[in-house]
Amino acid sequence: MIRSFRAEVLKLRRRSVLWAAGVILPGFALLATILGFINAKDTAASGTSVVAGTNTTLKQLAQAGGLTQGFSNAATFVGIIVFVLFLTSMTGEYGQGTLRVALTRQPRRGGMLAGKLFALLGLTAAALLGAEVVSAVASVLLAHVRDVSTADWFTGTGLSHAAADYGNALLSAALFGAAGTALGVLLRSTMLALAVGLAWIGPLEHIVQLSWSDAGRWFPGLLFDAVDLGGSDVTSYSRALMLSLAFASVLLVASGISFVRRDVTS
Amino acid sequence: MGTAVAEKVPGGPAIETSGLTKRYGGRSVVDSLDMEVPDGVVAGFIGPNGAGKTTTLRMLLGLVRPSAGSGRVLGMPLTAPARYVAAVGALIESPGFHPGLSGQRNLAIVASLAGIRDRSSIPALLERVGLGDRGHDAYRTYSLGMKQRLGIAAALIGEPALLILDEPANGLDPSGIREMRTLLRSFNDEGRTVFVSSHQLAEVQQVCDWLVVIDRGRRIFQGPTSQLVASNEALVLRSEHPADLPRLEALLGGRGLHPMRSGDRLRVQLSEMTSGRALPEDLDGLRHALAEINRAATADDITLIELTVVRAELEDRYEALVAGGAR
Repeated sequence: MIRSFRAEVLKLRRRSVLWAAGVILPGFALLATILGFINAKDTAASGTSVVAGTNTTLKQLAQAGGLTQGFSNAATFVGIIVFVLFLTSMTGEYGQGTLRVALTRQPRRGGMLAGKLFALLGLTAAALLGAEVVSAVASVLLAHVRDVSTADWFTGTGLSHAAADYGNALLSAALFGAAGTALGVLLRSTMLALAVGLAWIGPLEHIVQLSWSDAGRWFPGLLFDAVDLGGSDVTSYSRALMLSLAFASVLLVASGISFVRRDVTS
Repeated sequence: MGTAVAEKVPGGPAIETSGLTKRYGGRSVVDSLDMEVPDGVVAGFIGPNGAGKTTTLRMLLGLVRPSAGSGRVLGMPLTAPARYVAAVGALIESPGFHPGLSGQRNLAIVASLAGIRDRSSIPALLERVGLGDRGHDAYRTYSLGMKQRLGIAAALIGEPALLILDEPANGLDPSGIREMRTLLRSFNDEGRTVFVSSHQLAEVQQVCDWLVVIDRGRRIFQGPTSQLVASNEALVLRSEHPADLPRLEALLGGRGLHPMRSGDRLRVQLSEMTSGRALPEDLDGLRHALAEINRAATADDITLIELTVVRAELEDRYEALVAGGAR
């Protein structure tokens, strides 16, 4: 596993990946933070916002969780990026024939898969940490502009909020990553896996949710989002987390068995 | 980089399989294959397209699970590739590397997977395969031949005891093919074993001292290259007067040879004169035998106007073997 981890780190240490991890995710967080502060109203508007963070009040921003509110909003979009990253990382190995080369040097397939996943997760964790730091710094600066009190941000509760936001974002990303890995391993084709995966966690789940509100209680993509947001209108955080972990476990076991047992012929 | 060698039984074959079979659906791609590659040889693995060569190599490397049968690589069972792959370098089908990474970085990844942390020998490896000045370029900018060379460099990482190469000369230009031949020979000179599949029979004949020939998943020949080639080499004799042929035939028969008529010539299997060995191994003995025949013919008042050794090509024997197997 260690060998595979090191090899994966060597792959990830390239300009395009570092740029994506170091700029895109923090960029999302920065954008979400700026928009959150710019659009924050003095009082809450009536109705429910479709997009997380677009119906925030200045009073809410001044609360303990305000420091990383923008990061938390941005993290809801991170899942899809992580899903694609993990998925293409797996299908790329099949498509480019690199898995064949790798397995002739490291035939312990379970360890290889685990090492690869830990490396990808490490990159995700680092990128999310960077995103949260960027978001927090931007929040402090924008708080002065919008005259938002930051007194509660740096209390124990405020920092706990920040830690929880990071933890939930990372958990949610790991869950999406597990789903991406499973689809990549099971389908092996980038185009097919992306088409199936994005169609499912993108339009399909949300279309069903429009006519069946309980979809958020059962569908994996919506549950993973609920984990990131600390729960949703239709499911509690703990329930979302338990079901999500169950989904991820099943997916990882299935993909692990497939990865270990199936012939590598490409 | 240190040498990684599995605990092979001393003197045992580098590769052996018994009843090795791979079925896809109802079709057997490899069918009860029994083969052996002795330790320390350059062994050629030849057969027509679809004969099951690549599938066999994949099974040897743990990429594909056999449907039946067994085998050992460097003394370790095929069911436990983790116990021997550290001592095996391989290039299977086309090289597979990350297109956006440099050749050097790709080799570093392979070294990491092999558990080799010291990458100081990577530049020397690149140099050895003729990529010394392109190691920092992205793999996607490489030509087909350069990609193949990088694949060979990857196979050489860790100084393996056994090299398994699938069509390594694919995409190489003539000088590249010559370099490949030298590389395989130098590798073998260090006491290591090479098992190489190839369609370039002239190259195989030059570089391989052991052959495994398969067709439709089954072995149709296994043994020294010289044994296969020698069986088709011949001595052709022609007398000035065709009327002398019966006397010449008798003369040769008296020396324990079995000449056959071929038009106005006689043909003798060279293996009868070289104790089954290939020409280059017994050239002095052959020269002596030819001189003796010439002297005897002259003494018997037969003037030879042709005394020719017809060299056999592996290609001819291979074609005959495969055609025989197809019947």
